[in-house]
Amino acid sequence: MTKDAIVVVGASAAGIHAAEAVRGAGFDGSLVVVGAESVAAYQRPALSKQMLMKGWDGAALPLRSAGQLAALQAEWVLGRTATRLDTGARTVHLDDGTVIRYSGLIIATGSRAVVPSWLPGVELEGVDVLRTLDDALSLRRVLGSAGRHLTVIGAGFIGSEVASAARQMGASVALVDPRPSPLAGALGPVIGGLVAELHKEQGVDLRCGVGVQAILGSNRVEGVRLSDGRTIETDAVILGLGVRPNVDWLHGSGVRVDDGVVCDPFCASSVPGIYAAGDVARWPNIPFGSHKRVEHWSNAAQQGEAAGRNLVRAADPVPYASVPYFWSDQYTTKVQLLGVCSPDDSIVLLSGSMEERRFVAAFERHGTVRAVVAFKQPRMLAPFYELLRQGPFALTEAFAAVKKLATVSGDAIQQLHAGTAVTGEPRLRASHQ
Amino acid sequence: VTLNILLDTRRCSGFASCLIVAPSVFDLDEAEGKAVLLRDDCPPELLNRVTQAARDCPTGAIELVGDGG
Repeated sequence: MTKDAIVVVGASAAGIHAAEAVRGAGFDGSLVVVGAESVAAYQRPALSKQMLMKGWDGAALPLRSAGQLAALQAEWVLGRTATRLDTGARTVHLDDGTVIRYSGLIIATGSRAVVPSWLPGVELEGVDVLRTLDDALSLRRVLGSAGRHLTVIGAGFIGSEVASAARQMGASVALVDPRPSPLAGALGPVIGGLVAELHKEQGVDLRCGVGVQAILGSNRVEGVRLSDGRTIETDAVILGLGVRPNVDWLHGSGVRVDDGVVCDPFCASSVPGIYAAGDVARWPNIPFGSHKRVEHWSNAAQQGEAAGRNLVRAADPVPYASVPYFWSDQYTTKVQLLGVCSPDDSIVLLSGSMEERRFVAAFERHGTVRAVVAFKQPRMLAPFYELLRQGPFALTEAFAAVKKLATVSGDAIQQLHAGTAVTGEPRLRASHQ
Repeated sequence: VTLNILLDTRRCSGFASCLIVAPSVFDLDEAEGKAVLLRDDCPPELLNRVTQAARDCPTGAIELVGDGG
């Protein structure tokens, strides 16, 4: 690396970790970090969690202290969006006309929430997504008055968390999804069914298996018309329909894009000297044999670090392999997922009770475990993390790990009994189709 | 140089990723929804794990500092 300029485009989790790794790897040249939002990096996971809860004071939760950011000795270009990349001239072009030269570049532009333009009424006031601090503040204002009704369209992770937070703030909530249960697309119908129970118990008007035909209202949203012909009267709508990688600015640059920036195992893009990390990067995660984008916070942090390091130490690159980790707070239940799961994997109970919704279960196919999910069992995941670091593992190893836990914890012995007793019972070995 | 582990419980939001990576160092107080330290020194064999836990913490609640630092 010549001693000139590294530019990081994106100033959230992936970008900040990349910038820190660039310095950590010994780069002492000019470092520029470009961010689309005008505030310093904040804790984005909190937007759909504690920032929507009672008791939050309205201040952004910073990702780093002012002192930590200053220690990076970076130039911060915030509130600016990259609009074009010229890999021949090695320049990044911003929306205000600024042109920044780079010798090394990290693409950490993340993703944006999907807004379906085909949906009538989607442009009405009161129809929003939840992706940024401004979005969260605006939703809080809506939920702040008594007697409000919120409709959440899309019962994925964000949609389910928003429903959970809105109920906690006292709003009435309808949660609509064309799939048979919440989180069905990610975790399948068995785990999704448990989350459906959580929502119903908390008084959410859950409408699964139903699409949305139109959002109704003249200026401001007044209702939502469903595909079954029914109408929900509502004060606000949140769209939780997934995200798309922010790659438009790379068009024509020569950086290969195919559902995100296509990277090698070292987070390097198709153009030398350009790396990518976070939601925007699609890379081969070797232990899992997967080649996809991962939209989790922990991936943004870890991959940002890997990309920053490998850019500076290009002669000695380290492949980025990770055990994807995700957590979601649904009411008082902490749902945690480790690994790479498919919604049509079988669910095998390893420990605890699904009826009590306090358990650890494996996503299994042909005797191999690729992911583990826990409800209210944060202590039980560590041994599975160790196993998954090497990639998928045999189901028998999962039971051995639970047994080993039982020998060190009295509490877990009961869980072991639950785990071994139910293994052979087909009702708990639920499979989708 | 001895390294000490600092846990800022005002920042911690109980995401529990630290327990998974370094279970001999971190636990969770489920009632409070906050991580707790099982030890506050960081011997060399745990350095990688605690560093990873600090990096993976979405709230930046974990810090490693040298003695007196």
